[in-house]
Amino acid sequence: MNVPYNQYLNETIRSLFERETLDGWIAYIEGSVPLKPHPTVFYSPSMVKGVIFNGFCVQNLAKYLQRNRDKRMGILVKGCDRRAIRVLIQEKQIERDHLFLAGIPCPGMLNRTQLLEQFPKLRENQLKEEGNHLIIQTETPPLELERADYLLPTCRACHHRTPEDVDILLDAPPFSAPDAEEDYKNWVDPIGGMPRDQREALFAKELSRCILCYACRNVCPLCYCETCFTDSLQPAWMTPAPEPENIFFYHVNRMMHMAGRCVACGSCEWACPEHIPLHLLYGKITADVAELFSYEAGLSETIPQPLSHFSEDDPDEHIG
Amino acid sequence: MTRMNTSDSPLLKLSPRDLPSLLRPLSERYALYVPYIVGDGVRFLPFQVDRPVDLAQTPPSHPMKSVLFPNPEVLFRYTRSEAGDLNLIPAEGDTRELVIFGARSCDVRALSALDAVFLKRSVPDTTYRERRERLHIIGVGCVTPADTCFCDRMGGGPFDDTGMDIMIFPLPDAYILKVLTQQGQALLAPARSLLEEVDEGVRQQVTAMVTRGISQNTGTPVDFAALKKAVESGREDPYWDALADVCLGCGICTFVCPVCSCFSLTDSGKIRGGQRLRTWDACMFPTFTKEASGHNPRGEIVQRVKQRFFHKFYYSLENGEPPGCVGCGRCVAQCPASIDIREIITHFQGEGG
Repeated sequence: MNVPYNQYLNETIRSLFERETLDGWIAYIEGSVPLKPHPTVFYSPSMVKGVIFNGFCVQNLAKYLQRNRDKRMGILVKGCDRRAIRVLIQEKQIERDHLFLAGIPCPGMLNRTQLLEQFPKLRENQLKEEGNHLIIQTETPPLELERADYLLPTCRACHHRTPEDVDILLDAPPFSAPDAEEDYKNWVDPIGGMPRDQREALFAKELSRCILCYACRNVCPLCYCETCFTDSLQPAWMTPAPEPENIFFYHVNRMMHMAGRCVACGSCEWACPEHIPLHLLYGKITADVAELFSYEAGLSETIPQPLSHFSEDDPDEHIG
Repeated sequence: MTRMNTSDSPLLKLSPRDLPSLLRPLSERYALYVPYIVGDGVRFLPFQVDRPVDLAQTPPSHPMKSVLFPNPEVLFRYTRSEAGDLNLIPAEGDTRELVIFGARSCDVRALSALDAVFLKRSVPDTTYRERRERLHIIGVGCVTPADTCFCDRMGGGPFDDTGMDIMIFPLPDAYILKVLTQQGQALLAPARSLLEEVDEGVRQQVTAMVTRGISQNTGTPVDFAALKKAVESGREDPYWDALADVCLGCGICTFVCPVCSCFSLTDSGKIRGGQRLRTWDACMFPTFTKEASGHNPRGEIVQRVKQRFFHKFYYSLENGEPPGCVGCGRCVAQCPASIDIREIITHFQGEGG
């Protein structure tokens, strides 16, 4: 826990809220479950208290903008929150004028599961994030770890941690991680290189745990369809039974819908109660879109998305 | 179930390395379900020889309700001839007696809430009843409850043996079994040679473990009648809106809940044949209440959040059924938006319960 930085955040948000005459502000506060801060919405400057920012603020806050589209909202944004906001604006779900974006230079988010597996007794007040290090105070003497070794897979491959084109860029938190050296291709190449049956077996094994709770879809800032294909009754594309055919149908279709849109925030994998490595699926689609279209989602509002745009000089190589 | 007077029933010691020798013969006579590690969670699944059982994860990430209320469950199959004659074929069920090994107190207590829904309303649910009437439970005490556990506040406890046939006290180097019913005695009969009666020293170790477990109380027991009243008068409390502000409307909380029992019916198949499936549904899904007309009486997230807790702490009691929460804390641990049922109880009732 970093008291002075959190204090700075609370004071800054309170004064920005007041100055910008906003209707609400979305930020993270501490939760009752270890290493799991949660989002909240404040409706007045005086309500702003308990705002925190640490390496566990994974959930993409852009999720909460569409449901508040008629309000003028302030929001704390990391690089990936900012990118999701661009996609939502591109897709005309929200308006830039309604938003006040307070950017936070993101230090990369930490893998909660990995840390709790290694240090089951770890709680917020026993973990210090300092510079490039994590100090585990449940150990005697306190153990110093490299922060970079505990980043989430998506954050290891993120080259856009600091949000751009924000209304204010806040001071960087006093902890960070060296810039990403990995790329989505790092995960995808070994999988792409596997024989087909081996790859199928890998995904069959991982996805077999899926309970179709739809947390991955519902936490995704870019899954906003009023009726998801999973819920369609006419036609009923699938049944709600958590069996391989439905599970595959759901994940593969969602993956296709995310092509050229996924901003690799990692919220889906973070929310999954079964810890299914969804970054492998979404890393694959992200790497494919990068290779085929030289496009990364959420970096520009003006460059059209490759799969929702038609141009007359399209070479149409895939057609006959 | 015939419950014995157990105050002086002997405690029996089983060496952990003999556990497979206890389970294997059981699996030959019963449909045996045991807790297995799946991913980094634990589920109750049919026994397999040589697959290690997990009694450590507390509570198991998935409740044992899936044994009695499987997801999915084929209710019947159908065929239709070219002439249009419909033929209904009952689902082929396992007719053996059932044993769940390693059940936790919270999940066993949840059975009374499931029974209220599936057995005690006007029409009993036949497939649930068939399983329930043939069910025997070998429970296990919780030595190290999770941070999110609060069964003691909900009327239970880590060593509550209500509804079990046998309770296991896991000591560091031995499983100590206490037989609670005649059925429990019958379950152990073939394995008698593996068990030995314990001496006074072990008996004291068990007593000390239970005392320690009970003393780790997580708060004042909840007064359900008072909570019901507080929730009812708080129907329009803006607190619900604050929860709805962050709720994502996914199904985690209901799927991991040992009490939640709402389901959906789906026909799957083709015109010439198919099956009717029962699958778990969630009151958090907007489709749960969506009507054929397109109207949705609970179209807003806030209505669905309210419904979930009203069902648990108001409607259940209003209907004379047990409260809808046993304090297993799974929903608390798993909710991506950190909605915490303990905080909701505290909000409406205060720390004092």
